[in-house]
Amino acid sequence: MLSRRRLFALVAIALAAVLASPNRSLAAELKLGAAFSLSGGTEDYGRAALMGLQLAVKEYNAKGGYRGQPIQVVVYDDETKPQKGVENVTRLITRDKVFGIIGPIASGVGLAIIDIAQKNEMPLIDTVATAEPIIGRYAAAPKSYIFRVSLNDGIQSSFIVDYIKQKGLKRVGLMHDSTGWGQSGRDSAQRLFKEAGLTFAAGPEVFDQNDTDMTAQLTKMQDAKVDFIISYSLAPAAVQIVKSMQKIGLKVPWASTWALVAPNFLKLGGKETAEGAMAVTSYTPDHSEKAKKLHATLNQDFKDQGGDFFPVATAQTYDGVRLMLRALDKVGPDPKKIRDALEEIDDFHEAVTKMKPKPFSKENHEALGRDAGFLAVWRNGEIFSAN
Amino acid sequence: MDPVFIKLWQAIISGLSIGSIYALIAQGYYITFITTATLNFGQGEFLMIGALVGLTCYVSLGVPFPIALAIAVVVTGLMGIMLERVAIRPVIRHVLSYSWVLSTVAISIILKNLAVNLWGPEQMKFPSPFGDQVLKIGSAGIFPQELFIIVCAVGTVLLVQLFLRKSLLGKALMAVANNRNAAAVVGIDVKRMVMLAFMLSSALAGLGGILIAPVTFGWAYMGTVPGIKAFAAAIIGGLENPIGILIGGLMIGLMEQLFGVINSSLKEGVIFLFILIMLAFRPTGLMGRRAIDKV
Amino acid sequence: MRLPIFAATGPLGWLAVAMGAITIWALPLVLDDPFFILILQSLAYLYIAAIGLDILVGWTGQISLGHAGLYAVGAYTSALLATKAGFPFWISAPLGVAASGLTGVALALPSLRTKGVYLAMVTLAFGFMAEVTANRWSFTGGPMGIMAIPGPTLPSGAEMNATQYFWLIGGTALMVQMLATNLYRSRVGRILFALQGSEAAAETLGINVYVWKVVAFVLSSVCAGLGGVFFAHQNGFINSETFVFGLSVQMLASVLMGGTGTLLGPLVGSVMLNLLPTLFAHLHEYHLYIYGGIILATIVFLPKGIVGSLQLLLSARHLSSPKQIVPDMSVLRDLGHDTGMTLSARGLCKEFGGVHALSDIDIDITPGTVHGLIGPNGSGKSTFVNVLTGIYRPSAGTVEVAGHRVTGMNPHKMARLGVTRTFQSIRLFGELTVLDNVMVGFHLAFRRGFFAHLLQTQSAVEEEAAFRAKAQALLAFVGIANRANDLAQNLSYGQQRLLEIARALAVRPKLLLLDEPAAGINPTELHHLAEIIGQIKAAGVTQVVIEHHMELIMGISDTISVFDFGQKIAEGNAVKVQADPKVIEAYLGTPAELAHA
Repeated sequence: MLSRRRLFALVAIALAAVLASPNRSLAAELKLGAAFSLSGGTEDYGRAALMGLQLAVKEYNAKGGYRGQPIQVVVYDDETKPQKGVENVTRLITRDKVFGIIGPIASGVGLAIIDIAQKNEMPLIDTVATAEPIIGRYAAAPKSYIFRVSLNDGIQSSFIVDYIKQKGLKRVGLMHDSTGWGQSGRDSAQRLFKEAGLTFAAGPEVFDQNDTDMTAQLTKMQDAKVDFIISYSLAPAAVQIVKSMQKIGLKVPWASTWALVAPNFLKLGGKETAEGAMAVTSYTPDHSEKAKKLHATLNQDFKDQGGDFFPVATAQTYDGVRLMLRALDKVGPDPKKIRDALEEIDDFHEAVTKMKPKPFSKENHEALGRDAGFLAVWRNGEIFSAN
Repeated sequence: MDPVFIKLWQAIISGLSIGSIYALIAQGYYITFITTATLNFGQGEFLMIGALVGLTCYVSLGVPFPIALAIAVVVTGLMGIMLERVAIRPVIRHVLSYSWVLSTVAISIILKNLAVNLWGPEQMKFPSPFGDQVLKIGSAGIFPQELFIIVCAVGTVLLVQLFLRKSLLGKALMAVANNRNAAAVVGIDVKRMVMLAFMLSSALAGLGGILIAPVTFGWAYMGTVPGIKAFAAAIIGGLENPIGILIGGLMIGLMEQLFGVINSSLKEGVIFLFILIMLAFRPTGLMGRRAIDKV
Repeated sequence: MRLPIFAATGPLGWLAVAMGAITIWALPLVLDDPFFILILQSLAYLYIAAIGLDILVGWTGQISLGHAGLYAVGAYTSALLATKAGFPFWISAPLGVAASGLTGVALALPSLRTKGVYLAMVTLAFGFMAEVTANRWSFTGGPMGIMAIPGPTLPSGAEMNATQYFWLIGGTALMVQMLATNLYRSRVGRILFALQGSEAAAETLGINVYVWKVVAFVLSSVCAGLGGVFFAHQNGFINSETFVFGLSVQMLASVLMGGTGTLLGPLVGSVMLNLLPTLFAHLHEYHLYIYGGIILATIVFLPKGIVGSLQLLLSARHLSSPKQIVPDMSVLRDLGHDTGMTLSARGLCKEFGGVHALSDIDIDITPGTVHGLIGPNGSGKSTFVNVLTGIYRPSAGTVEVAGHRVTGMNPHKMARLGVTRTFQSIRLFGELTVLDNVMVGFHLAFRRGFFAHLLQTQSAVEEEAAFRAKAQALLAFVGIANRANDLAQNLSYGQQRLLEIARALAVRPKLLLLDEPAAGINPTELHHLAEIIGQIKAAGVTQVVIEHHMELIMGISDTISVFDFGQKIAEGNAVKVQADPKVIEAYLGTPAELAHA
């Protein structure tokens, strides 16, 4: 009896003490928030994005920051879990009182957190996650707070579909992994095919992103005599796909989204595995002078973290963060004003990706569109344009 | 050749390879279960440690493969002893007889974190010492490493059984499994046998890891799914039936691939559905012995 | 362990409830921060799920590694009904909970025949199936999930804000805790703890073990589903990536760390396991070490969990001051029956593999007598008793009780007919007090059912008190009334045997089978036992006593049957049996062998 009451009291006190931890932010500090996945399934994208973020902020502060005041970065890891992402974003908005948020990395997390950002009127720039609904959900809202600097699934798929139409390939197979990204990719591919009046000869076949043997799925494609395969697979699964193709003696060209320009595709598979694989990308480290410069800086400044190991993710984040900071410069640390300012930017000439000087507008929150990407192919361990 | 048969044959060959790994890990479950009525829910992480230690030796340090294999097995075996000491022995006398489930899960969580800190969170390539040329068995393709896996894993299982039944040390271990107190009375050091059991069990997992890493990539998170599937194999076979477990492991590998041929999106769920249905009819496993409780 | 002193009743209990209510009301107002309120919401619904899981794991001693699956069923059902069918929260939520409950039934029915590790696998398999189904089935939206899930609306039409939602969840949690407390203190709690102690013993007291295990499983499913429902409506979005094995582990860990079988364990465990990761969120390199380390440390060093260990410390002081109960001696008069309880076995056989444990046994038990059963070890005495009480099915032959065929009837049905027993290896409910062990014996006599005890109606409370008095009387009868509030497992060996007898008497048996009641007791206790058996006989109860202790058996028995190698080799009164050459041969060997000895 006593113990129960005491325990209750103890618990209440402990809760209060613990929750009221000295984490109150000073109103005067300028904070940029980052909701990244630094563990779970998509860490490389997260760590690469973090690099781009850190470099952009470093350069900004070196030039004097905001009216002489450096900005700080608050990063939380959502472990690729949507629930954690929601907690992190809520924390960034209400406790850390950031002026803007960069993220997410994983599409599954993204779909959960955009509601929080939108409801709390906090501008959020997504520099990695590609699921279309991330922008689509609030596209029709009078004031959408969600922006993206990344090629979404639909656009990425369209490059592949264009290539297929151009080459007149008739028998195409479709396969995808079981994640949200994989399923979204499948949806966009199916939609684009329908619009183009094409049908798939085989698939959609599913695999788990950690599967090691896709012979079951691929023999079905072989039976259907496909001459091309579209696959939504991250690098490890992609390597297994190639190995499985070797096992059953299936040799057809195949393409995936930007997952195949990830460096670990080459690392895990080796040159022979990557040979002939095609991938969509918005960026290669050598496609422009600015890109080359960024590449060199990253390799030098972040040498201990592996240098520029995933150029696309880093570059997109580097651009996205600088857009946010540009808006900050124009209107100050007011999230609502920053949102408006982002739509109005029309002189951003320093992009390393192929975005236009006016990346956003009231109707368009996707900075990278149909003209900002292309299909690339691996030849002898390097990426070239596929045409 | 009939395309259906080609598909099935390929599925069978592919399935046997991964299935034999499950069987290998599941033997580990068997050994600790019969001696202590516990098993290591972090067995998958021991597979991972074996793989990554082997990877470091073979890939980074250039140690010859057989020696790397030996090192991996020894390291995981030693870790098995540590596991027994830290997570099994202190909890074995608890009233709630499932404390060991959580203590071994806790160890697996810690090991995962350790692996991420030591090796990073990404997948790593482990080139097969046998090369990448596809071999053909009939119409089915198989990598030399996969063939090696089947031979090595099944062979090890049989060797372990031989050891347990014919060697003096093995028989001592089985004695402890059968009747702890009686074994102690005839002079068998029960504590040491238990340690041996865990060492053996973990070493088997480590062996499985280094065998399979060239096929799957070395990765801090590689152990979870094989650990669970091996557990399923042990359950199917009946935890006290070592040959049943061998068959169970191969069955799961085969089922995975065969269902993948039918419908790839269901294949994961089907295995577990099969287990649920099977346990509804045969609560002690497909080949497990009907337990008779002496009242 | 289930110590009633830790389940507050009366004014102190209500004080605790009031404190809980005030805390729930005040917390969001004091903290006033959406982030913390979000955390509090999560804590509250995970706490609800933990309460349910503790009923299964802590009270009944089962295990579940797949409760995330039941949580998912609740979440998805409510989310889908709210989005696709447009149901308001107040309708979709109860339906979600019902769906979880039904899934629990469906899962429990086939799987509760498995035990131990196999049950762990069943639940594990279910958890994975749920995860995979959520991921692959387009109906659930897979990883893209379900969006725009509305929150509950107030009568005014507006959606609840975060603080109000927390009040809803917190209030529900408080109610669930209160109901759980009611069950804990009542006979339902006792029954479930008894299942953990010994399922076999519980059966012989008339408890339908299988049904009650399913009940426990369903209760835990309902709580998990309720937690899932609140989760689904928390952020307006759910996807399949939440319902992974790790969540089942987390739920189980919070129950174990808090302390299984305690009332506050789930609360403490949930708070710890859900709050700590938030505290260590910034240490993302090490947070898994800390998480795993805390679980491991608690399991190893605090095996009874935090609350359980605290209870252990505190109970040492409190145990000797029980509430004084006036024993109701009328229970002994109740024992008497008009005799007519005949038991006969004809041609009874039981085989185990190739072993003939019983061969063609014919026995008639005369009502109102003490029928002794002796024979060398392995002669089939215990097997015989097990067959009589329904624990084993005979391979051949029949058993009749008072004219009814009862061959192979379940123990709990046998108990209903008035047949019960004690066990050779003591099977007490170790986690219950001595008094509660006896109270379990009154199972069949209780009139008030599950819901009356859930709500602690007046009649349920009164009935409880009445049986408490009767139980105290039975303890006085066997002579251990002073140990009434101790945990059964803390009694001495001889006292435990007496407790088993008292518990069996609570069933109001017409036929009581005692399996080696004198094993391992000292001469004083032996004398006491003989007295008790005599008094039971005087009350009119028929007894069958298996014993090795010749003095005792010869002294108390009216008839003695002698078994050897599964056959009845002699029968008669003490004098006749002692002189029977076959009996002598069975125990001592043939005269030829004796000559060479």
